Amino acid sequence: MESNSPAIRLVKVSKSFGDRKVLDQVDLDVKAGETLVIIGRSGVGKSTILKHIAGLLAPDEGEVWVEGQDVAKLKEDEVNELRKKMGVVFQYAALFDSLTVYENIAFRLLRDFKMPHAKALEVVRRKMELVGLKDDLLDLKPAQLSGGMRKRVGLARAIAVEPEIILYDEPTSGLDPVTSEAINDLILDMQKKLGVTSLVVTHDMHSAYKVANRIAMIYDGKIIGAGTPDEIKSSRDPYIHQFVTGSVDGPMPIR
Amino acid sequence: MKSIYRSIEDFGRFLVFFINDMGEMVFLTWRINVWMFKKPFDGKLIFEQMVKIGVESIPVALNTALFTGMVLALQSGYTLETKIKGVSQFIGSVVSISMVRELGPVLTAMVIAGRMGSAVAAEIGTMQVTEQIDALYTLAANPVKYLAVPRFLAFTFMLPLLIIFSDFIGWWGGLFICSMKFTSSTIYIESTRSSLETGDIMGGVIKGLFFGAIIAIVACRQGFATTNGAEGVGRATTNAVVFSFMLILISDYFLNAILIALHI
Ligand SMILES: Nc1ncnc2c1ncn2[C@@H]1O[C@H](COP(=O)(O)OP(=O)(O)O)[C@@H](O)[C@H]1O
Ligand SMILES: [Mg+2]
Repeated sequence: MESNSPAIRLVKVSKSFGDRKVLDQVDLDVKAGETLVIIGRSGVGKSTILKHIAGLLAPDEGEVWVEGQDVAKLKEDEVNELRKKMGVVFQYAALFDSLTVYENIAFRLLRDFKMPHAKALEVVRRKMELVGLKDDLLDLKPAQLSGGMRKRVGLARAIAVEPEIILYDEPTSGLDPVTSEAINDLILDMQKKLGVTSLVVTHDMHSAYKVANRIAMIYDGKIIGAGTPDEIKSSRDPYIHQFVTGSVDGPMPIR
Repeated sequence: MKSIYRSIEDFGRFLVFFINDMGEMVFLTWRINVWMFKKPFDGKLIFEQMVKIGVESIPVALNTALFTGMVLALQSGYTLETKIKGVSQFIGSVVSISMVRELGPVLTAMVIAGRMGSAVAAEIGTMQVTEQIDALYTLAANPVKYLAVPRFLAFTFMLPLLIIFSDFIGWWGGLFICSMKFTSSTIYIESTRSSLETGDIMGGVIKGLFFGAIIAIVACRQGFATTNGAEGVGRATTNAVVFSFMLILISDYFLNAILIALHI
């Protein structure tokens, strides 16, 4: 793979659920080592984009390329190979209820990588420290954790295998400001220290400005604008302006 | 009149849905069989499910079997003594054959479908609507392999075992009632011995294998197909039980026909 070809590329991706067209010819590039933030209102299809990249959904039309491979054309084994390089942080953490915090974070280390427990425990402790969790949580079940803790466990699980690409679905939503800031720092660290490629979905503009190299806004199934944080901040596009300033007045209807 | 049309219409819609679902279940069965033989071998998961589905169901299965055997003895004893007169020495045959060939397998299957089929559908359904199934995929664990295969194996192996226990307890319940109200236990045992064959027990066990597979497939399928949050989980749970009951009864008839044709 050429070093300057994008790590993730969406080419004219369309997706409908029933007769509702959620994505309409979406084009998107994420360069290797870059952090791209996708902003947009709830229900516009941000999570749907991430699920296409993770190979959880197949596009109705168009192509999704990850590290030079067309995801929808891969066989299950090949997708799994690709997923070994990918960490996904789910919007509501999606922790396994029946497993402990340790078993959740170590899930892929133990099952897929066949790592012995002693070594996995070491990795898990390190990742928990990275996301700001104390290791006395190791034996708790997800139901015993607060929302913020679950989210950080989800994050620790995603970075447990040192992924090259991390997909974050609203990593700071529902967190207190201090924890949010810690997560922002972590996203920045992953990029700076490990050169990870990140795609972050959020509607927290503070977080978007802080972590992004580029920001893309999605509205009505399309990417309506993209640029550096400064460009987005000063955008004249009425939709982008309304969104980033959080204004009631503007072209977007208040549903 | 209107409401009759309405319910016929509803039933028609249910039938279409049911037949469509059958196709999906056949596909899931195939996928389970493919994944079963792929590595890794999930011994721990399979064992956990066997305990949950099999061992923890023993009390409720045995309770069902005990009272079924008792009521069978009471009913057949009364019928044989008063209606046909003087043939109460056959109670043992009636109880053991009906228990082993029919009531043991079917009632145990229904109890397990109600207790564990619903639980499995609710568990997988909750995992579906909370994106835990998606998370499994992203962590390179196929949900069919990780969730459906252990449950399938647990249901298919544990149900026949539960049925054998049930047969025995049901027969014993019959013995208890018979010796109290009708004939001596020696006659009951002798009557059982003269008519019950290994083939009868085998037939029940074969039914158990099929019923176990049916419950597992239906429950996993309903779980994986869950949409619409908590409401959807409720519907998946109900569907799992209703569909299992229907399929158990329908397949019971055909299994019987086949077993009889094969002289088992
Ligand atoms: N599996 C699905 N089936 C049907 N509709 C879906 C499904 N996933 C998402 N949707 C719909 O697609 C739209 C976009 O969803 P999503 O990508 O989750 O939005 P966002 O993450 O931007 O809030 C929503 O209207 C949602 O209801
Ligand atoms: Mg979302």
